[in-house]
Amino acid sequence: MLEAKVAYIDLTTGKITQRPIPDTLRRLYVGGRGLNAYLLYNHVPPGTDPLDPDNVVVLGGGLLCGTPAPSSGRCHLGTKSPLTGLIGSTNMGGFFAPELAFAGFHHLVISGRAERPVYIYINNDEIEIKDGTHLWGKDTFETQKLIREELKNEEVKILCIGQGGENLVRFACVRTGLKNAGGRTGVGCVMGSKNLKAIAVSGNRGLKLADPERALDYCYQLRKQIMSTKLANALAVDGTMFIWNITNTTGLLRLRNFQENRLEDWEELTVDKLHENYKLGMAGCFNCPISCRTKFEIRSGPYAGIIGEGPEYNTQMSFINAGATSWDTILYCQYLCDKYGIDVTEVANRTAWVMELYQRGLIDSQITGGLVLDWDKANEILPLMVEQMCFKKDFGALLSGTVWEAIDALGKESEYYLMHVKGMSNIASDERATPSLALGIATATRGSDHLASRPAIDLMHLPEEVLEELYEGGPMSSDFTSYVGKSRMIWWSERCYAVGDSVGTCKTTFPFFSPHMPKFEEWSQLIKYIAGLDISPDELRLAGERIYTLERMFNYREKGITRKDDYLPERYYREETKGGLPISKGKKIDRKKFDQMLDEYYALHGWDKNGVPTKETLEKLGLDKEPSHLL
Amino acid sequence: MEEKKPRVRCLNCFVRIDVLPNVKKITCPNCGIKYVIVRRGWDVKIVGEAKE
Repeated sequence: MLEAKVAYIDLTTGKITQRPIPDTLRRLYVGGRGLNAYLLYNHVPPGTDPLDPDNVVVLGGGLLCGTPAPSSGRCHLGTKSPLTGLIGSTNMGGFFAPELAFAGFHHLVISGRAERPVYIYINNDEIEIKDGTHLWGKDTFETQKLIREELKNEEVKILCIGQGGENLVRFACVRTGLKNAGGRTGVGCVMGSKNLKAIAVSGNRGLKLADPERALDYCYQLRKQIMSTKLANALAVDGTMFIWNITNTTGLLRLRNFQENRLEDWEELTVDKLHENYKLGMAGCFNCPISCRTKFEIRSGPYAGIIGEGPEYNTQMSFINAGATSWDTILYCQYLCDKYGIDVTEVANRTAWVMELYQRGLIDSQITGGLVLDWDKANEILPLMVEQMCFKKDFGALLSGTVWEAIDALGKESEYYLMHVKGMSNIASDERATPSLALGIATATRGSDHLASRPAIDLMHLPEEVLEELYEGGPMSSDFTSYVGKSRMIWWSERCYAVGDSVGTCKTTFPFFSPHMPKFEEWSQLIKYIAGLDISPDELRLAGERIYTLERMFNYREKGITRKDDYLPERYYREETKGGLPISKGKKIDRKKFDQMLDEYYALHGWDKNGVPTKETLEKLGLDKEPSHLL
Repeated sequence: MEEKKPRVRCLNCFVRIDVLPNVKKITCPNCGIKYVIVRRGWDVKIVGEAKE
C-alpha cells in the first residue's frame, strides 16, 4: 500500500498537521485532481475572495504518482481562481510530485498568509516554513537555483512563482524545473497573495508497491502499448507541436485573434524549422517512455544564448495568433513567460485581442501609451507586452487583471473581440469546424479549456464502430464537422480525463490522440497492483463523473454557473471561417445544434436542462453529503 | 515481411495516398488537394498545402 499523507499548512499561524488519506476517499476521488476538488470544496469557505487568506492552494500528486506507472509524474494544483472566480485547476509535469510522494505526501493544503515572504521546505516527514525574503523579486530560474544552493542539495525539487505571482497578475503560474508550468487559472497569483514564494521537497522514503512483481510486469506491458502507437512516436520526435502542421493545413487555428483560420506563410514556422535551427535534443518528465520536451537554444540574433524547453503546440499557435512570424519571437516570449511565471495563453490571447482592437480603431496609441499595435510589428510588441503585463506597467497594467477588468478599461465594444469562456482565454485553436472541440471548451469547469475533454481523436476520421466502442455508445459520426455523437465524446472524455488526472499520469498517454492509450480498464489494473486497491473500471467511471460534477458544483456554489455560461464567444456563431481546406472552410457554429448538444451533454451527466446537477445525480454520486469534512 | 510503404492521409477527404520515393509534393487522387510533405526516415508527413 502507498502510504502518502496530506499535510495542512497554515501560513498565518505556522500550524502544520498531517493526516493519512482514507481508502474510502481514494475510492471516491482517487487522488490528484479528484482529491484536490474534494479538498477545495471542503476547505474553501463559500464566497471567499480568491486573494483572501481563507482561500487555499491545494497541491496533489496522483494516486500512482512516483510509481513505475508510465508517465506518472504529474502534479495537480487547485485553488479558487483569481482569474475566473471558479475552480482553479492546473496540471504540470516534471519531477516535483514524485519527490513529494517519496517524502511521504500526496497532497498539501496551504491556507492563510505569511507576514513576510516564505518558502516551505519538506524533507521527508518534516515540514518547515522558512524565510524567503531574499527570494522575493527573483525570477523562477534564479529562485530555484538559490534554494538549491541554500539547502546544499542539487536534487531538491522546487515549485515556485516568479515576479508575476508576486505582482498578483491574475494569470500568474507556478513553475518547476526549466520547463514545467502549472500555467492556467492563476494559482501563482494566489501563492503570491499568501507571500509563499516556493515549495522545496526532498524525499527518500521510497514507495511500497502492493504487488511489485505484477506491477512491474504490467507497467512494462503498458509502456509497450503506449510506444506502439504512431502518436507516441510523433510526440517523441516533435513534441506536441506535431499537431500544428495538421491543424494549420486543415484550417483549424486562430490567426490575428479570430480573423483568419490558417497561416498561409507557414514555411518558417513548422516544427521542422525548429529542429533545423534550434533543437538541442529531447527531454522527459518522471518515468515517461515518450519524452516530448524539446530542448532548444537560440543561436543567433538579439536573443542568442537563450536556452529552454518546450515549446508546446499551444505556445507555438498562441504567439503565431498574436502575429509572431519567427521562431525567435515565439521562443523568446515563452522564455520570458517561464522566467516571470505568467501564463503564455493569457498573454498571447490578450495581445492578439488588443491588436485587433487597434486595427479596428477601437483603441489608439493614446490608450496604449504610444505603442503602435500593428500586426507587422508583432515581433517587437510581443516581448514588450510580456514585460508590461508581468510588471503591471503602462498599457500592460490594464491587461494583467481579469478579462472583465480589461473590458471595463477598453470599452464595452471591445468585449465582442475577446476570445474567452467564463473568464479564461481560449487557446489559439479555431473550433468553428469542429463542434466536439467547441462544446468541450464551452463546458469545461475551469473556463475555456481544451485539456478537460478535447477528443483530438475526432479529427482522425475513425470508423463509426470504433468510435462507438471507444466512447461506449452511439450513434457516432466519423465526420468531425458533424454534431452527431459529439456530446457523448465530450462527456466520456471529461470523465476519462478527470480520472487520468487523478491517477496522476500524463495526457499524452490518455485517449486524447489515440484510442489505443490506457483508460479505465488499464488504470483499474494499475491501481490494484501498485496501490492494492480494488477499484473496478465502472467504479472509476463513476469517480470521473463524481469529480467532474463536484467541480461543477464548486462553480455553481461560487458563481452560480449554469447553462447561460456554457456558450462560446459570439463570433463562433456569427462569423464563418475564411480559409483552410474545403472541409473546414465556410464554417460557423450552428446555435440551434449547439443547444441540442448542450441538452444531450447535460442529460448524459445527469444534470437538468439548466446545467445543474439533479438531486438524483447528487445522491447517486454521494455528493448530496458534501461538504463532508472527512479530510 | 512486407515492406511498409510510406503513405499519408488526405486531411480533407481522408483517402490514403501512397508517397513515391524522392517526391516533395503529392496530390490527393480523390479531391485533388496538393500537399507539401517531409520525410523522416521511412516515415512521411504533411507539412502544409502546396501553393499554386
